[in-house]
Amino acid sequence: MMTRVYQVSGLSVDSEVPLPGLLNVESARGPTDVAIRFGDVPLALDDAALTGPTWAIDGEKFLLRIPGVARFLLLGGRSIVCEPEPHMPRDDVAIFLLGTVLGILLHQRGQVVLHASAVAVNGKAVLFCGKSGAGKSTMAAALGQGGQPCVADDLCRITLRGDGEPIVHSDGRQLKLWAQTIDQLQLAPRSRVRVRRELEKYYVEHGGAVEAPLPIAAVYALREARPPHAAGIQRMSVLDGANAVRRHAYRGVLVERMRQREQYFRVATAVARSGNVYHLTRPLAFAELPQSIANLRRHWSEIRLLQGAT
Amino acid sequence: MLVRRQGDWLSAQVGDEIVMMSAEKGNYIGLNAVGARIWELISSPTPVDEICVRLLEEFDVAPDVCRTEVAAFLDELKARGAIDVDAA
Repeated sequence: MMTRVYQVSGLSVDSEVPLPGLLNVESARGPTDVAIRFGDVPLALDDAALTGPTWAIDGEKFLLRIPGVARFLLLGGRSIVCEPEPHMPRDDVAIFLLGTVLGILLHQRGQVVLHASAVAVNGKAVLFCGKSGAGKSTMAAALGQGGQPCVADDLCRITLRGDGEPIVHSDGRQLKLWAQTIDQLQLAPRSRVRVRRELEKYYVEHGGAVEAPLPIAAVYALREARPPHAAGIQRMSVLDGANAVRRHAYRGVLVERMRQREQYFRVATAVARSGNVYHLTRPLAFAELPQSIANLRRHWSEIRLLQGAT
Repeated sequence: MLVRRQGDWLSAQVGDEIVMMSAEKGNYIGLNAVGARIWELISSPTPVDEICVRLLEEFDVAPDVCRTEVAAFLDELKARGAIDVDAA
């Protein structure tokens, strides 16, 4: 069966499963990092050393069950076998492959992954982290409307450069948004493929994607403005900054299970070293979004991120 | 009273502060510049009195304030399982 090659979070992926929303790379130069295929996936791993309600780990094997959708078997961070449930349209597994499954694959590869969106500002990355529904995609999309290229939508792979500087790898995909957000941002005419019927999220074009990894200029942990937290942007202490990075690990429970505390500690302290980890507290109402964006841009001027920008 | 480090800690220098992680529990602790200096001083078991003497040489602080704050800091480190204090 035909496969396509994509670039995602710094990895080349050849996939039999169509991945709408990902930037398609022309052709593979040499072997790819990850292969995704349809195939048979067992219901359980008999010798699993660790198990959770929907997953099991046996050495290099990671079995993930998403009830009503599919089962996935990940092998050593190099391959993914996907068996959709009988009634499940084959194309609909893509959203899970690009979310949870990719996050686990990156964990298997010993990579640090944060639950965050990121945009590029003046050649550097600005990250927004928060729980699902905290407004990560909304912030990135609103900034995309203003011309800031998207670096990552939902998961940010972070590595340390030779000089210890933390860098973010583009997830190579287009933004995933709640329908309500799209209407508010007036992107509706540009909306394209619906991501998943039940979730009412859509893929949309955005202000161009960034492919090269970027150094991190700032990390904002999103939270809603309500007592005792007033709207605004506050710098965190070094310890709070490091803890915020660690707390926003993608599927944090797996970090513990897969013994990756040390990698996260190295990245969390490297990010904290930049001194640019902030609380971004804002009202969740969409009507307030332009004000939040204006505040954010003013903050970028204050931290000299916009200096020399054209 | 002899102060000694306890447990397995990873540490990272961030400016003049230190962030440490317990390898066993995974929790983080932050030490400010003075705390970081104390942590350095107890890299081998050291009497509390000697810690205070060294800090008085290096920082602009009154002896009684120094003694009180060192005691409070050590209590905190002890509560987090980072040190052990021998009553010897």
